Amino acid sequence: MRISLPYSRKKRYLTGMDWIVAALDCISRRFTGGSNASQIVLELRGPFDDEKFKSALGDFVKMFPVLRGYPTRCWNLAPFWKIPRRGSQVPVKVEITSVTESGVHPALEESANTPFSEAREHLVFRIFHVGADRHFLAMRFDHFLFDAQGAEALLDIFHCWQQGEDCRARIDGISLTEPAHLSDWMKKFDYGRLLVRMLLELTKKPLAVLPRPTPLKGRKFQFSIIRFSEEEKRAIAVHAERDAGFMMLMPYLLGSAVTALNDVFKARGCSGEDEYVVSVSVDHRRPDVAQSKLFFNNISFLFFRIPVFLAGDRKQVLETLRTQMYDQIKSDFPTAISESSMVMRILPLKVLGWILLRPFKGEFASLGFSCVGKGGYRPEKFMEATVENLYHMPLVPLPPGLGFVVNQYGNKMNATLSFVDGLMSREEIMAVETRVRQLL
Amino acid sequence: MENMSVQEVEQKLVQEIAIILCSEPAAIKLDAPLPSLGLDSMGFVEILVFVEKTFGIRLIESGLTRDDFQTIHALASRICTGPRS
Repeated sequence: MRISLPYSRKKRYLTGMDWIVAALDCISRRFTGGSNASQIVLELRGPFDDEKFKSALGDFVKMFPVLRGYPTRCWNLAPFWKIPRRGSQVPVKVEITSVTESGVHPALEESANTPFSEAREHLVFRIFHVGADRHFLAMRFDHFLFDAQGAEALLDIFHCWQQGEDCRARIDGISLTEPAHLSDWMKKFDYGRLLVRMLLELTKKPLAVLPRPTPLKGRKFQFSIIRFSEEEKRAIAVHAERDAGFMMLMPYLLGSAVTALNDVFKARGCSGEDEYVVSVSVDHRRPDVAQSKLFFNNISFLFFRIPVFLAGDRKQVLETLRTQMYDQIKSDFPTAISESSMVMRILPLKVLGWILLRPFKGEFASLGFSCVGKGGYRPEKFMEATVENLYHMPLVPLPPGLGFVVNQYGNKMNATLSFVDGLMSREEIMAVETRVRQLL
Repeated sequence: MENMSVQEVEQKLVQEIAIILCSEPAAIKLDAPLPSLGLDSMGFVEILVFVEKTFGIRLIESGLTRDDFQTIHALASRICTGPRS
């Protein structure tokens, strides 16, 4: 029987993926005390008026009371995001600091690690001035409310609106409705069966993981940003096509990341019998759709297995990644996760978090990987300043507490290595950076 | 498949790509490079899976070269040529 419930402006039903993202937040809080959040950084050159930004942002966010929402459950047990009524106060914190050039990275790390001050705060802006002409804008966001591309799209719309462009249609076109997904249960259970079968397949061999530092509580995340210039980005595209095949950039980047990290894992005692399992978040949206579906999570996952003994040979790694990607898409694995996770919404977050860690006996994967879609922030300017670069600093849920995020902005590409403090030494990080550059 | 012309294969590909890109079939040009349509690795593999399910050709194993996949027209011609040894 299909149950249709009327849409409400005060309610947005959460999908299974939203619930999984929230469960990952719950797990992170239990292990480190940190949350499942991320940060976008815009490197700006030119004039930047703090007061104008604060004032414009204050007016802009009033249109989105969803930013002050919170999760709760409906009478039908489906979880939903309670949206305050229109006209409600939507305070968004903006902090302004002056830093030296060498102090920028530590300040951005501190910003990414600073938790939200209250349960209904999901967005914070921090501006770091290095001089009159150089600034860094950090937008820290809650992954419950945005995925990476969605958060970029919010900045894109803000810039367009602030410039006085007519973007009413774009703002009105932002979709906040989602059905309760309380029908087609047999289909969801069938997908669940497929998911369980694939997860069991993933757990056949011992998982290669870096030993967790102790104690974990209170540990912060560190970030290493590997920047690629226009010329390097072009060369990467050529190498990707040569080594992995036409339009195989994502497997190429993933394969290179695994090969680059392989030495660190092996030095920490991972044997050739072990297997890397990489969770890759994939975006369901196409570039234009990202602008209208910018809130909540529009992602799913692919899981890749790479035997440790094979990981040093990138050619073979690329071959296996390409085949696994094909087979997973053919068997509809990303849909299996998003559909079957609808059933999991009945579970309280703590219980779901516990279940997510069961297949790997307390672990989740060797590392997380993501290629942020290109449909997020597109303008060359932000306010009056020129955007020189844009990158992400995510707190990768722990376990594994280690992730690799690649994004492209204009002619540039960035790879962010994110890891919980103590998981890798400074020397190991430098070695990985060098290896990544060599491989790409 | 045996009786399909290049044009018919092109039409099927356009319909599928429109679904993947959430756009109108009319907006998809046959001679536009696939990356310029907004496809990424995932979208491209979705097309390859569609080709296997619809035409019975597993192109992922045939070497992914730019010449064969550059445009929808090139891909349709490649499908009509059949698997290459």
